[in-house]
Amino acid sequence: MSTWSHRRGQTSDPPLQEIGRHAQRLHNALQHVWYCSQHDSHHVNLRLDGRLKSSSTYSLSRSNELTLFTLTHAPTENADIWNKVEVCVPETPDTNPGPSMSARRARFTIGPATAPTTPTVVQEQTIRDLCATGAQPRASLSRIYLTSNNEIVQRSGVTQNLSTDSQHMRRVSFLSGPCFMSHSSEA
Amino acid sequence: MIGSLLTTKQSIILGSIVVSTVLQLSATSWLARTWSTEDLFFIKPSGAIDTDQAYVAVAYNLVARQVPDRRSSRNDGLLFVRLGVMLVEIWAQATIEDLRSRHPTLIDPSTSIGPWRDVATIREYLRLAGESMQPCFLKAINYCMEAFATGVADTEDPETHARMIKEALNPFDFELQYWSSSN
Repeated sequence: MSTWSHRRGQTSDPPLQEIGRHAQRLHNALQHVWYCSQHDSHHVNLRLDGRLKSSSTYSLSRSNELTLFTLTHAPTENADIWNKVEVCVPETPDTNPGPSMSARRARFTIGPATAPTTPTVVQEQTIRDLCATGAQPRASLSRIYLTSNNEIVQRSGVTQNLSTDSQHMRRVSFLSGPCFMSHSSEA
Repeated sequence: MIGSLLTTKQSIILGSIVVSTVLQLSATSWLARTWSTEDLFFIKPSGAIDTDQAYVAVAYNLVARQVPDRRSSRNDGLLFVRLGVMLVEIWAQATIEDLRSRHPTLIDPSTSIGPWRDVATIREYLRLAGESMQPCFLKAINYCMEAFATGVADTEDPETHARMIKEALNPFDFELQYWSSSN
């Protein structure tokens, strides 16, 4: 996979195709992370990212991984608490050739350039119940990874730069009521 | 319910996000053929909405452990009509049904059913709104209507992508840049 930095307006924009492909992979993978005995259904919201806007160039790269999507999920659509997770897609293809026999596996990565070059052990754990994962301390669940095997995993042993604006939120629908051609002039 | 009107800038941001979303996700299961503003949600802790926090929702049913494949019933022509409707609704901040009930002139009796009913309403709305509508909305909605009417709308076609970026997305970018530079 090449670095995703392209001029806009080209007739073959790889980012659009790649984003759509990864979004479909994520949609499919999410079907297998709800082995939850407590709820009949789970509701997932995908943040709509206007990542193509406001710039003639754009890059989706962040170090060696891409944070492509943001999700919130809850057992009910009217939940007061939504768990927010970022979904990263490794920029370089996962070399693991097939589904893992074990739910756990380890990989080695080299730390940041300013740090000593001691390899860091990164543990990956396949997520089978994202709902239960949401009950864990936030630091362990705010970032998940979509592997090339279409599995959703969480990693330990990596420093996470977490956002904190999740949890107590309500999902509200659009449109407040009928009006016609009237707009607030506030910028 | 948002509870307060969007500012013009917020409407432009949301319009841009919706067009961008169609470009990114129209070929995926995340968007239904009948995707509408009613499928748009904002996750907010309190206070005014943040247009950067717009979401589309999917329910995963544990019995089947899957959701219906929305792509199987995808029709790009209808998708463009829906996009045009959404942009009108975002601008007007009312559903198309609300607009029709308030303004019967938006109903064309000769096109009572199907997407052409929405097309007729949109065209009449554009005529009435005239210059009060931000040019980016006008351009994007007109592009959607043209794409539907000419039958060339295929969101998986790179040429359609490029044209959609030029005709429907770039106008929003241009006006957002204007808002950024003027404030």
